[in-house]
Amino acid sequence: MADYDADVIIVGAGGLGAMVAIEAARAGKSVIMLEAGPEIPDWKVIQNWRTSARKENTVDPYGDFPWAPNSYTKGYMNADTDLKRLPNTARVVGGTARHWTGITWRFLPEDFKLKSLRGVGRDWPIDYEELEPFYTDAEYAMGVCGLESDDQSGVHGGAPYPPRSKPFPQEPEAKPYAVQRLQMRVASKGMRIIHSPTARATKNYDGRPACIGNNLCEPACPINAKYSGLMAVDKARAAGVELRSEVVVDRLEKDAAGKITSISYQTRYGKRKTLKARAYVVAGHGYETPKLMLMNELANRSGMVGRNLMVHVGLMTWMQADEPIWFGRGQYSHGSFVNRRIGPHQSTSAGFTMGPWNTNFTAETANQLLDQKMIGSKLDAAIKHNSSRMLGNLVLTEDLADPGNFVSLNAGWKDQLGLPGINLRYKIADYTKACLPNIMNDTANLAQAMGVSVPPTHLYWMTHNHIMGTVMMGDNPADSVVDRNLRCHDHENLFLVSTAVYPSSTSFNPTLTGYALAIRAGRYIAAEL
Amino acid sequence: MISTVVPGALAAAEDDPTLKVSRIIVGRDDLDPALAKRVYAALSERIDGFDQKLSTLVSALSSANSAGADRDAALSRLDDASLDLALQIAQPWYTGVAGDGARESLDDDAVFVTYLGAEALRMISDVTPIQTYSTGAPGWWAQTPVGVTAPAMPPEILDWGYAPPGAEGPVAQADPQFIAMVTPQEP
Repeated sequence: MADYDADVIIVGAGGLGAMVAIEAARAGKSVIMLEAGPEIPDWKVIQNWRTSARKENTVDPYGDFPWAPNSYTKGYMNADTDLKRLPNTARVVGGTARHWTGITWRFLPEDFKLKSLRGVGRDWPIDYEELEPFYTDAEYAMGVCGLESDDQSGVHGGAPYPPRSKPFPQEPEAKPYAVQRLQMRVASKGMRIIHSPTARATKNYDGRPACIGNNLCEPACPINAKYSGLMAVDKARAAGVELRSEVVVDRLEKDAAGKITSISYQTRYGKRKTLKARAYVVAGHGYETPKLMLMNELANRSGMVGRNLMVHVGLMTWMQADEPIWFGRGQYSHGSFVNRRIGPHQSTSAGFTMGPWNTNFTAETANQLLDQKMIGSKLDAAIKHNSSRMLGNLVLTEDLADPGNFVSLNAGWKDQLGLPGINLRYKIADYTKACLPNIMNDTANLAQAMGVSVPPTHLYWMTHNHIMGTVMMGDNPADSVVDRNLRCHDHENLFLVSTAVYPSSTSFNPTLTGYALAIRAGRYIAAEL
Repeated sequence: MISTVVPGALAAAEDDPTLKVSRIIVGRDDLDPALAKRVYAALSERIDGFDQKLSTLVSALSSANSAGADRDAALSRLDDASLDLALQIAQPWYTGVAGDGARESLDDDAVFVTYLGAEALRMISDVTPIQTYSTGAPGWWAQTPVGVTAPAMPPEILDWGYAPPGAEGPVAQADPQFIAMVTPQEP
């Protein structure tokens, strides 16, 4: 019998775990990926969404499984929070990286030095320069489209920023008429909307067709123009990686020196199996990764496992412009306003970004008019009129690592396999609230520029589905969980690959940085074995 | 929009009270009888005494037809109870869903009725395709939407690298009246 079942065993077959798998397999290592959720093809997700009564819930079409509960399974998340909804996760092959919107901003060099530059939050143990080649590789793996000439910081005088070693693999998509109109009109307020880089093909790319504006970036792209975690899994399988789905890892054994000696899982039917590897990777996103560590009392010398939960608090506004602009033509996101993203203000208030959320709001508009008891031809005319003018604006605020925001085990709730639920505690920080005046200022500018004359029809706080911080990266084992190479300080052959390692959050989507870190970790692990 | 007459729709309405009132409420004679059955199934589960209330609504709308002025006149004569029922019947026809689908939990009481058949989506689908499949080529969305007269814009607006005059800032201090308008309640 071989000493090991594989060189590398990866827990969690999402986008990030799959990138580690691809790198290790391409380096000639044997790899097994273990996934709690089932395999569900994109066409089924699309069908489920189309027949769903809750289309705003992007987890719903992926299903709810009693052996692998997700963020929205009733009872699973025991939340103490002022958030109206929780950041969601999908437990399926391909992971939460499937229902993402596809937005791929890089963190800026300044984001890696938040503590040094602004005196708040934490610095990363690595800097932008070190990660840059991996950003490039991630962008080419995903087929990111973008514009090199943009200043994505808003504060570098319009010069291209951040520095790049290669151009974007794809050129930007066409600009929707609605965004053209917004750009023209908000310029009067000194505001500029720049292109948002995304992992959507604008020409055929790596077997994917160009986007044709189906306007369904979540829960999944109907034609796979958008990159998804499932594509990464398929690449891993093609590279020789073995995938086992519907198996729930719940135990890791260690020796006296802290080295992991085995990993074991239950199948969905409760049958147990134990495996051995030379290196172990947990890539279970920001809830399940710390949960598995806490269940096994691993990696927690610092007491930081599960702590420092960051979520990106957001504000969604729907209002009516004074001209027909027709949101819903094109993709979900195209551009952003970035001038408040970074700067000295981050010493006391969160950076934020905002941009048009380009979906059509017709069904909600109809509901709202019905609530006003409108019916008949008046209703028909109002639906058409309001839909043509509806303008969605989505704000994303930077979050700071705070140990007081956390996930922990909830022994009072058990899933089908007897595994615990999750407690979640999150309170919106004063640091976040401090940026509200500027958010309101800029939103008011947008409203006035677009001729909005009545209060927004919808105005609500939400969270983006961005989970960060819960297995913090750092050089100091006393206050962080993993080191600069994502290796647990306490366990030399255990790596945690997740957006949950981020020391800071910036005010843009975290996914691309996660892929860059995963590629880097995969190469590091493969080289070490 | 070109609508297709569903075979049997006219005859079926005589037997199906949901379909009969729905034709007035939605303003179309060619509603799908199968969808009417789904609307009935969804609503009769949710609304106490639905059959009795529906019967009252049928009587109130009995002399109307689905055409413009007659439809509106009939709907405007409804008493509060019948208007509420008509609005509840309108919801799944227009939005495709009865009830309010929860965003943050898999546990809610919303019921799916239709997607492609939702009137609100259909009535604007010549401008914004119903989400999932468009029939255009990449980039079609940059064109001026059907029925819209675009204000004058420089041709460079199509380029992402172009910044209209003024866009480079500084960001204006907003009008307090508009700040008040867009300020939400405490998070």
